[in-house]
Amino acid sequence: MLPRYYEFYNPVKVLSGDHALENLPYEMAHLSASRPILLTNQQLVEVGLTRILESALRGSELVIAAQFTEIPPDSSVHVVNAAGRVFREAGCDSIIALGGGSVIDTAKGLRVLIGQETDDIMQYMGADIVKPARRVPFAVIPTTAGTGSEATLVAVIAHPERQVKMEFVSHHLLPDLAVLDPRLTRSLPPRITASTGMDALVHAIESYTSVQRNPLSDAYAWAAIELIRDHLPRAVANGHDTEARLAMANAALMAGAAFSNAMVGLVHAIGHAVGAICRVAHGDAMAILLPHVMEYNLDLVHERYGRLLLALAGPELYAATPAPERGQQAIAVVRAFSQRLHEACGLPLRLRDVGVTDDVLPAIARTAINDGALLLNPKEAGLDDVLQILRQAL
Amino acid sequence: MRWLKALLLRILLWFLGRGICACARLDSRAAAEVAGWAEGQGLCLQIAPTGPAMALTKSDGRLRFLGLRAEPAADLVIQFKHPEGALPVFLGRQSIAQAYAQRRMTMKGDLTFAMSVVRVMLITEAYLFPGLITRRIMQRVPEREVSAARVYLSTLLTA
Repeated sequence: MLPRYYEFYNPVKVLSGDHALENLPYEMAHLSASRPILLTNQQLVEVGLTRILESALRGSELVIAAQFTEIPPDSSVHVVNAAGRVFREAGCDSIIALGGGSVIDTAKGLRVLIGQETDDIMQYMGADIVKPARRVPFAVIPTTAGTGSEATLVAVIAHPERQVKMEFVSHHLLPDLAVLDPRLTRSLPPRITASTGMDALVHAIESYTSVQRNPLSDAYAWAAIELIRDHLPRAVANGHDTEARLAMANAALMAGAAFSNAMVGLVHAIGHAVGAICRVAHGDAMAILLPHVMEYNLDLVHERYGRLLLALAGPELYAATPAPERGQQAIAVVRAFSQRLHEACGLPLRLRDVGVTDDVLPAIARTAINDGALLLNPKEAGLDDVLQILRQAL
Repeated sequence: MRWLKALLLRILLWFLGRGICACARLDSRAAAEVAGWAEGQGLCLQIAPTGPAMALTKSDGRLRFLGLRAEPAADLVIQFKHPEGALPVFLGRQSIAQAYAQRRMTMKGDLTFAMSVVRVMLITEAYLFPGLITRRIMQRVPEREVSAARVYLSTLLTA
């Protein structure tokens, strides 16, 4: 059934596959960009990913005018401001982000800073209030296959002094280009491959059942789930499986496009809080919490989960499962999928496996109920509900 | 008809704003939420492009209705993009979550604070709207701790 009203926006041009990076100069030239700042982090420089980019750009008219690598795992307003100073001093005209979630969030913050011609991005915190005075061409080259940030309208940037995580939601944060080149995720260790891949799976499942879901976001979510089902175990087993790596990069982008237009739900609300309070890696928290939140939501979205069984498990199991049991069976398939990844690379299955203890659960629950993702979960959840889910996941 | 809708929205915003303040005084859950807000923290609800607005702020430990006016510098500014997107929410035909899902509004400020504001609004709606309406737009209608008549009286008489 169609929603009475919905919006969908995904203007990102996707360059996917062999030598995708080599097409970047051509595409940037079409965006009238010639002097980009490259945002990345030191670790990615050390493993040689920036060298792959430099090699791809060699001989082109695209000149990296400045490189900014001081980006920690949790980006902050100070990092964005520092990148802004480098951008302005070097006379840059565009942004290339090479990295994972934190690098891409920093780049989105930088785009707001430069686009709004401001020194304080704090005033643009919120949903749908960015109206850029200047258009800054922006390309993203993801080095993990999970966040989908290359196709989302969201950025989270910390303000340490005010002790807030500033959330920016705006269509103007979406990049112009997303470059999915399997060379860039090849060196990702199996454990991180599994964790980030599960993040993408959660994006897809939560957007498929979100209050904001729509037919277009459903299509992206569905395609992402099928790709993850078939390729995540392969990418974990063999990082040099180029086909699996590329499929996962596509899946992450599609799941990102789905959640950018349908948003996420309770798994993310609790997962953000677990990450903030216990420093648990985002993908690990997602993988652990997913089946527990699905159990919680089941009575209200039984039919939606039932449909997802086809994407999660394929036609044989779907056809063999009576309709009333498909929702519960979908959760069982998710559990079995996580278990398989646990056996392959040690993906954690319980919160206690990642250092969460019983005494911090109330604090996590209090933080979770203030997360905006909760608003769009198909089933309302209060403090006690979140606490119960956390105890089950512990 | 436009002026009529604008007038209706002014009346509904007036009731909602003062009703939220009344609930913050009379309902323990709303009071607990507001107790967590910083002194001077406030919100503004407005209808674009030039529609009515109302503002609230916490002052001397109490939530106060500042009147039917815009406060662009408020910590949280929720702006409906159009009166047609706002009316279903204020008439109890659509939940605030559904309106957000349909991107009927923009939010300027800390979205964490917005969640607390939404919870207070839901409690207020449970008093201001009859059960028939709230059951349609909420999965769990907050139980009334005091009578709706008392909240209405406080809404009308005390700002």
